[in-house]
Amino acid sequence: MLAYALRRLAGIVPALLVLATISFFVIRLSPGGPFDAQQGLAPEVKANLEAAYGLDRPLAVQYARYMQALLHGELGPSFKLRDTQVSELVARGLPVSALLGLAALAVGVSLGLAVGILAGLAPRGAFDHGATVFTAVAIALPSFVIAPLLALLFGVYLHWLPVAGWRPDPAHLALPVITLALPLAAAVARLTRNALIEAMRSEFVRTARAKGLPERTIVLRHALRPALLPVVSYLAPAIAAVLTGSLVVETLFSLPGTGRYLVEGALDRDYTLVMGMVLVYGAVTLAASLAADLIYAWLDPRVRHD
Amino acid sequence: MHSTRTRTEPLLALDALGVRYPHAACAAVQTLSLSVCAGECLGVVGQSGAGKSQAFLAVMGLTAPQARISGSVRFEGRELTGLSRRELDRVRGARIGMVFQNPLSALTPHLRVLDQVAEVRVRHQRCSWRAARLAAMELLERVQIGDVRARAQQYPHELSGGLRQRVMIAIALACAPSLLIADEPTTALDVTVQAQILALFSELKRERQMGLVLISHDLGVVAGLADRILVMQAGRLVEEAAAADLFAAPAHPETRAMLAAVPRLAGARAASGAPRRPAEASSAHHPGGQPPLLAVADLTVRYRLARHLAWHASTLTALEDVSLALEPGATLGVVGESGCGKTTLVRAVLGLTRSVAGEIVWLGRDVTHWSERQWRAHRSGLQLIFQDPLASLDPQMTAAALVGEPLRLHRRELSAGERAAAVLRTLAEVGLGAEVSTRYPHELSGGQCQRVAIARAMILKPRLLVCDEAVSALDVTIQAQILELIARLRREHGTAILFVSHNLAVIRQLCARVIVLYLGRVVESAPAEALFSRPLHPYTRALLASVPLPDPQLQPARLAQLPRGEPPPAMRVPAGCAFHPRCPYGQPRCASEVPAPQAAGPGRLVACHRWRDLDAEAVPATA
Amino acid sequence: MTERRERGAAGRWGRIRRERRARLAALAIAFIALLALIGPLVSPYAIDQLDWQHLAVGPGWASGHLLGTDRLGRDLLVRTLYGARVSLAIGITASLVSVLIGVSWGAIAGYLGARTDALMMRTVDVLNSLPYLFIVIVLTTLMGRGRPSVLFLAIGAVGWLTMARIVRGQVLAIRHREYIEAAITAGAPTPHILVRHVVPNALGPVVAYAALIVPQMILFESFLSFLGLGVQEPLASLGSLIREGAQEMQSAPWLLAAPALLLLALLIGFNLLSDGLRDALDPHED
Repeated sequence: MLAYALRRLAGIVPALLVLATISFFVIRLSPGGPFDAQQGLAPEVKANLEAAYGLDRPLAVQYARYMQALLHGELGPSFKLRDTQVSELVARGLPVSALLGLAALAVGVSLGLAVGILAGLAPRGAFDHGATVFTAVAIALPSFVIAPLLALLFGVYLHWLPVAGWRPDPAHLALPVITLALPLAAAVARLTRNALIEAMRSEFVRTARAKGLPERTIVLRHALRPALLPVVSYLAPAIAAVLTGSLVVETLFSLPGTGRYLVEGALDRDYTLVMGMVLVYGAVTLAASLAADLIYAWLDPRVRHD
Repeated sequence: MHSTRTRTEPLLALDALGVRYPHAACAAVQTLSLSVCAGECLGVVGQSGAGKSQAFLAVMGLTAPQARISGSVRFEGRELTGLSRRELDRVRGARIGMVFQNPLSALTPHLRVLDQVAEVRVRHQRCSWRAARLAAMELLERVQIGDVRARAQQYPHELSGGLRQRVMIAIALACAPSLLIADEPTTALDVTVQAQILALFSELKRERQMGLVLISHDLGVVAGLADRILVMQAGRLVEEAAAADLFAAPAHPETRAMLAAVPRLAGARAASGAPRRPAEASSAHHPGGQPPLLAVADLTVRYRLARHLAWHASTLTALEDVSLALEPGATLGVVGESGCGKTTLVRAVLGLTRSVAGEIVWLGRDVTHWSERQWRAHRSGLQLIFQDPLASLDPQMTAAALVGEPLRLHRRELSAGERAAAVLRTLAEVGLGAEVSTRYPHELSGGQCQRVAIARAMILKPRLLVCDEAVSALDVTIQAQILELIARLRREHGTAILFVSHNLAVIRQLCARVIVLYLGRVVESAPAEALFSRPLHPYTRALLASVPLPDPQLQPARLAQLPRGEPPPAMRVPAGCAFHPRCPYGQPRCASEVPAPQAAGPGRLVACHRWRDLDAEAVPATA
Repeated sequence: MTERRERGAAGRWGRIRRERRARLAALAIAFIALLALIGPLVSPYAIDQLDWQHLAVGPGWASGHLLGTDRLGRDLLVRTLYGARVSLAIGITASLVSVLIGVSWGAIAGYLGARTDALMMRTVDVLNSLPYLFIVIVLTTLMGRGRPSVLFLAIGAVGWLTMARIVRGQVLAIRHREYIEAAITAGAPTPHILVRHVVPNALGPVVAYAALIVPQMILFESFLSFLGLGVQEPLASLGSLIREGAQEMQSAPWLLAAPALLLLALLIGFNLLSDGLRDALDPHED
């Protein structure tokens, strides 16, 4: 198991490197960026920039300095907000986004598992049919459609929940989390339901019945793990989906998270900010991918010899 | 919960049992009545679809939910049909144990083997996990799993087929049931492992006075064990007799057909009852005839297995110093169990493998290192029949398209009409009517698929036909038909046959010469008659002793020749003679020196240090 | 012999036709597409025509604007249909690009195997490590927003990744099947094998997934437009319309409802179509 983990970890490093390198070149070569000769900058500003970025040095040295800075967690100064470091902005926005993301993940996965398992245990029953319809609709609904609709319903008409602004309490979290969690729950429910039905029809469940084990033991000990496998596989894309969804949600509900900074940075063409954020998101996605792989290997021993 | 019963009351009694599925044309099981007594072994035989498994799945309440069960099932005096789930659970696993056909899919992949055995005890005997695990360890030892401490902690996919099946047996025996049902328990196993498992069943039955039901499509398998045998056909019971009586004088045509279809090692009888001719020796069998079609010398195939994060790459030696020769029109059988390298040999001979050392000569040309392009022009001379009939046919092509493809590739000058005519002719030759030509593979039976594959191979009249376990996936009666077809085609077209199989009896029927492979090495090479009447190498003897014979008299005596344990994994071939850890006749010399092939008579080679000593001992006839 | 299910081309088209969901979905999509094509042409209003007399009125017959107007007096119905047209156009074109690149990439990687495969799939893995949207954002940041060509490029550039993976998986599995070996031993050259054996057998899941890519592409585009990074004024897509609608949601909810519902209909339609196709074509049925 350890060997497997190390191997997977080793696989991530090149991806991170590539990402960082792309980031470096995007910043250097982008038109309209700080290094564009056409920018009519005041000479002092230009001199500052050059000193900060080491523009007078050869490209290889710049690259090395960039990588070194990265290792220290410095992502460079924001291009548009001259006085602020990108890492400061990340630090400011991360707690909000992290809270939002983790809550959405927790709610989405638990709800999805619950619905999926209940539907899978009684296939073609009433609950199952209802769940199938619900999941089909919820998967198709994009977050930027759900969010305004929910905001309209619960915020404007019913006045139950705040529609904008941020305070780390359940009321303010409710709408954003639900928006993010619904499609996730739907996907998880569907995967779990199908996998559970297949597991219950497998030959090893037949053997378990031949042993005279009660149905509950069979489901919990024998059928559940294989049913969870597709969900774990889905976890990495799920986290990616939550990250992308968070962009919309933070924009719509005016939450001061990293997502909103990213969008604003893109609108303003603030390259360092955008690339810095993208790097952070990339690292998070890769870490999530690694975690998902490890959980999968823990659940299914056959994969460890890969 | 047992009602008082007399000794003579049967353990299990089925009365007019019926199993019916909603949309099927006929019932899976119809009015089946039978009984099993304690200490008795009942063999239930029949072809696929005869309903044998369905009947006993119904006994255990394990049929699919939509099945309709009728009739009565009485076990230990109690009616089982109509019991609630909870009451049925008390019987299943505790009083009746069941062993299934495919142990890899029948065991839970994510639970350790020990726990899968222990949980049965925990459930039925309400003991602690600790006590249950201890008992399970003992049980695993009893079913002859070596190195128990390590094995018990492993997962099913880490064990070999034979070991997995032993685990299944341990699970079935965990609570000392009074009845054990074994559904095709050895079908997926190698022949020597099969013999060991059957021997195990025999011991267990004697030891515990259990009732044993052995279900199989192979009469030979039940021969050594069963006291009484039931024959089923299309869901009905067609014959029932004591084992000895059934084999001596079968009454029903189905029984006779099954008995005749079992390939014998000698003295075979055709379906009509007339003695069948043994494999014809070809005229080119004696050296000095025509130059060989195919000559292989010192063929060695090694694969390097790269492992990330491993210190070194390990090497897998699939074949070592293998030599053989095949004259035009001759037949050569290659025998060995899984891991012996026979598939690698087939692929090397056909130019499908690259990492080859040694020499392969086809029609006088050295083709050892030929590229695919060089091969292409010559492919029409060498054809291959695969083991899985359905998998070797492209699912989205009709039979006509499949059989016609070689013509498209090699005889482009033919018009569509000429091609179609040739296809129909060839299909007729393999016994298929014109209506088959528009069907897709999934609409054909296994036997028909294999005939299509043979038609495709024969349409260009190849000089060599290689059969890689070509009949292993078919029912016994169909096997016989396909073998007769291959023999006939050989007579009519003069095609040489290289037949690779683990089944000695099949090889006996078809081939004039045999070589025996073990872990990639040739251990014996001889004319078929000589090999079967006087085997020299201990492994050959073990193989012969393992073949299930439809003759209850001889079976018990052959058990002494069985090899011990399991074949080692191919990456860790033992030093010296590869067979020595399992050989009943091993000596210290065998562990250090690799035996070289020695001449042992006209056309015979043996690679064993002790063959002369063993030859002098009396070897029981294999009939 | 065990029961054999219907497989292969023989049953394929028959099953697609019989699959009711797929048929209904295909019909619905065709209907919407037709409307989107014809609507703006026959409508009495142009998409940027301002009607001063009917500013921000709700849906109804009276005003002459069936779905109402927005703050600037532009007819919502024609704008919505036009938006659908833009979304569909971008979605379908980007899908075609994705499918072409993805299928070629995956087929080559799967068939050639070994080093080539490893290299090609590593590239896919690295590109995949980022959620698609971020790459698109970077690209639009670089190239400036609004130009449709940029959108096509950006969206298509990431859409092919999953398709490449699926195709490669299929081709890899097929390459080792025995009927391919049978074709080789029959003496078939590689192009023949690819065309006559590999592609027809790999087609099933590919077609099903291709149907799923279209809504994904539409979704990307809507996403981007919603964030303000997609199509710009005076063009409109369903995403940008939803953005506008969201901004006015408290005073003029119909501005949000119309494009949102139409987008929903399209997405659900494509998802059902893909489900239906997958059920019909995927060998792992039941």
